[in-house]
Amino acid sequence: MRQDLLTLAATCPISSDRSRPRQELSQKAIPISTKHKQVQVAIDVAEQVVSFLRDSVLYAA
Amino acid sequence: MPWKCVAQVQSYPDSGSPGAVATGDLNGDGHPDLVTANNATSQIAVLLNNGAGSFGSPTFYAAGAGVGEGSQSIVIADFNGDGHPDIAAANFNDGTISVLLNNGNGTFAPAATYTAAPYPLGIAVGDFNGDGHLDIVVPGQGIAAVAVLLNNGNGTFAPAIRYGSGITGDVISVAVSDVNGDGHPDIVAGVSSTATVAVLLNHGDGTFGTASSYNVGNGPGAVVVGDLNGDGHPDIVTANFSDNTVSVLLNQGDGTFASAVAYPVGNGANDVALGDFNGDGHVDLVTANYYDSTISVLLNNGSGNFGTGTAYSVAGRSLSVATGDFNGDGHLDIVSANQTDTITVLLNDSAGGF
Repeated sequence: MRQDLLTLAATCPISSDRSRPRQELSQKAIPISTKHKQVQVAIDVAEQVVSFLRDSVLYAA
Repeated sequence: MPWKCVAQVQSYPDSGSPGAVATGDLNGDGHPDLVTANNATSQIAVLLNNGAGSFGSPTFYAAGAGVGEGSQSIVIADFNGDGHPDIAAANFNDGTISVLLNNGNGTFAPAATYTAAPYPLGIAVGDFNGDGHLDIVVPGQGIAAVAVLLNNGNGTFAPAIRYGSGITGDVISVAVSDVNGDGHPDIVAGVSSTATVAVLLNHGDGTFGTASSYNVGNGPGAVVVGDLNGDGHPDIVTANFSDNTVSVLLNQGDGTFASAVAYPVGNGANDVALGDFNGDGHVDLVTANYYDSTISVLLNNGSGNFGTGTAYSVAGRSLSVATGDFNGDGHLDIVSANQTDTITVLLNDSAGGF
């Protein structure tokens, strides 16, 4: 019997979201990873500035 | 590649666009069950085998029950040593793994989630530090490393430790096997950006050395390890999404590998699994072919060389394959997780056809 006669159609609602192949996900992830790194660097710099200012205020007081 | 009318295929609605599938006897009835990782819906689905090779409706474990976001890969193993197989999933969206411990009857406790690595696309297990408890490894994106989470001994896990020395690209797949025969499980990682596999040998204490790299096809989205030529040493197979091939690397006996041999499979090979489908004692392979909505079965000639693949249609774009004797007839069957909210079970015709 042919497979297309035996295959039972999916009766559940079809979601607009789909799982993706790993290679496609990997290519999407790399720019995101780079962006996250850039954001983390910005956060680190900001934290250092805040720490410096706090120390300066404490020293002045 | 020849096409073949298939004799025994059934598809089941999954309702979650399954991106990966694994098999194991979750409820202890002697029949292999199915579990899928549904990336788009951040769900894990469990489908219990009714004993004759057909499956009940899925039970979902969702993000609200502790499962991380974007469950992408999945593995079944007994993490807490209670004799009941548990589930671990790698969650792409939030860089975590979720561990669901089996209640003993095929239902699962709410997930415990652990930070692992950015955008993990695979997951594998092994007792890396030899303490008798199964540990977890996942690949990471943007870090050129794998992340190892050691089991605390009770199914909870210590913070991830990254190993990336010798890895120069983004790791998208992992497998575990003792490739150098020293009694300690090693890690094999598929590196997408360099089209290589990286082999990380275990120091014996659960830490890993600098990776050795071997060329494979483009886009090694899945890697598995098994003894393909019967020499007692585990060999490597990758599914190469961008090349429509598998790469076979035979172990030279000491944990180093010969140059890869490529075999054509279907279009968009996203996953690969091993099993002796025709009962000749040699390990065959099957790939999930995304763009073709097929799987390809390649039979081993016994020396680690493979014949022309046979393609079988499934009910949607195939993202993952796994094997098990689902109907208990002594012959290994295949399951495909399809992007279109279905899984397809292909029962073996007892001669290695489906």
